Amino acid sequence: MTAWLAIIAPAWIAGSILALLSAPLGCLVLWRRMAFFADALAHGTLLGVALAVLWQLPMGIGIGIVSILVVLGLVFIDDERLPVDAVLAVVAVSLLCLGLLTLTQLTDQQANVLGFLFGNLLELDWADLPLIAVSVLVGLGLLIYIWPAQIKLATHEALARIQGINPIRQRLFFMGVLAGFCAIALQAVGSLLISGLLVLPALTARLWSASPKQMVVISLIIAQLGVTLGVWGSIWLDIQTGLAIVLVLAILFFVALIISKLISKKSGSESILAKFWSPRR
Amino acid sequence: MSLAILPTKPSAMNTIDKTMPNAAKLLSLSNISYHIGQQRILSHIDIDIAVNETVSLIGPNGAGKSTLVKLILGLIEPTSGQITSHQNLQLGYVPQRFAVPPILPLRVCDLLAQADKKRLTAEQRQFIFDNLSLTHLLSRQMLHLSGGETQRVLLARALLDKPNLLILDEPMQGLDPDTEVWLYQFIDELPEFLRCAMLVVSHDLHWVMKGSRRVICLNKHICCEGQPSELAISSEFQKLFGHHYEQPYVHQPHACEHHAPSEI
Repeated sequence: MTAWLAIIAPAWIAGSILALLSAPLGCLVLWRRMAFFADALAHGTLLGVALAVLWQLPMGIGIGIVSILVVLGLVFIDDERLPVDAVLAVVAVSLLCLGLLTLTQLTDQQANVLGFLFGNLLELDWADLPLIAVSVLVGLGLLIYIWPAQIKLATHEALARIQGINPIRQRLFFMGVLAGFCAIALQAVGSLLISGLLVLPALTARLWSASPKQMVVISLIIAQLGVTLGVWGSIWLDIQTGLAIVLVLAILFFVALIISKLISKKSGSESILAKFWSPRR
Repeated sequence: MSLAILPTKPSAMNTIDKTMPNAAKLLSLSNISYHIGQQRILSHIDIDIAVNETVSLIGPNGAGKSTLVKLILGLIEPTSGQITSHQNLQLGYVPQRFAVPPILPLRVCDLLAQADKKRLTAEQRQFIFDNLSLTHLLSRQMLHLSGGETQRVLLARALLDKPNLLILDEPMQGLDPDTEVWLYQFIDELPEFLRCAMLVVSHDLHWVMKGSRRVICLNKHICCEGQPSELAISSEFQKLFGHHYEQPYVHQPHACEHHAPSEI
């Protein structure tokens, strides 16, 4: 156990630091209905990495370029005949295809493709931790800065706007934080599973919370649980770390869902959970 | 429903604002038009709202009432014309429809906390909670409130910002008559520290036509405005709302320019 600890400690710490940002960010992604957008950005990171390798740029710059292109592309595609969720799904798969194609055909990264798709936290060592910690701190700082305005916008956009909140500026700010998170989360859970890491803890937390603050706290706990069990599980089962983390989070979600349904059935309509699942909604 | 009609000369209408001194004005809309593509939603709207004045806005469906509210709130920009505020405008708004997304767990107290906390003292806040019977609702989920409870919370949310212009967009939609009377009484009798100008969009002719609040009747343009007693005998008002009153309906096809084709 202690021998293992030395090997997985950097990965474990990195994952835990990352979960500090992913949990509140995931709540905001759900409240602002940006889950599909987050997924498209996450798929875009693969193309970002591919371009960065191809043009020998830092990965962050490659991912930044692709994120800006995704936002510009969405503004261009915006068409009231096309539903936004479908457009975002199209953008996500297109980016995945382009990313995989570039990575496998134009670079010599074929051996690492699986790591980019599903994450390889265990490859991290102590030297990588300061950068991750600083990035997460910056992300958290920005998130705290935009937090009150974002909650007001999620509650009611018109009421937020007459209090002087600029929704476009807030959205761009939020997209920026999201893109930054995708760039640092790529190493941990990989392009395909970033949105799982974001959304699953927040979704699980929603089942048990009565206020925004509660939802953030519970999703922080669940994200930490997912990272810890996932890192140890990936060693135990010898699978990709990202795969293990998201699998644990998914299991936690379904367990929480089943328990909450059972409780709400037993306790009748008085329970908050029962109201949450009532057909009225 | 019948209404006492006073024999006022129609020429007395539309003159109320012309004499209003600038100092007492809160907000002026001058020659506001709003078009979407080729479609005229509002044309040539001139409205002055005075400090602490209550104005009711009535009009049929599609008259542009909600558009006018959005213009005043600054949520949309007019195609032409100008909105001038003569004082530092602090807006309060009770929207017509309000639904918290179910994914956001939000208690009543969380929503009320989104108002600016520094504008009212603790006692003044307590006054609002007491008079709108909110204290027992504070820990309830917004999602589980009834229509009347939601309206009370939204009114409190707007008042906590201590607005000097409060806009209520069809505030009584879907409320039972008792709650409606109670809420109207509350906004009619606001205490001194909450006194503000109000623009009330309403379908409720009964409330609109009683009392001495200025009424603006909108149908893509301002059809008529004035005191309820003056309004009831206006021919355009009769055309739009005459069937609600025991007034004989006299058809005057050329009285309203907007019965011409609405294309530009």
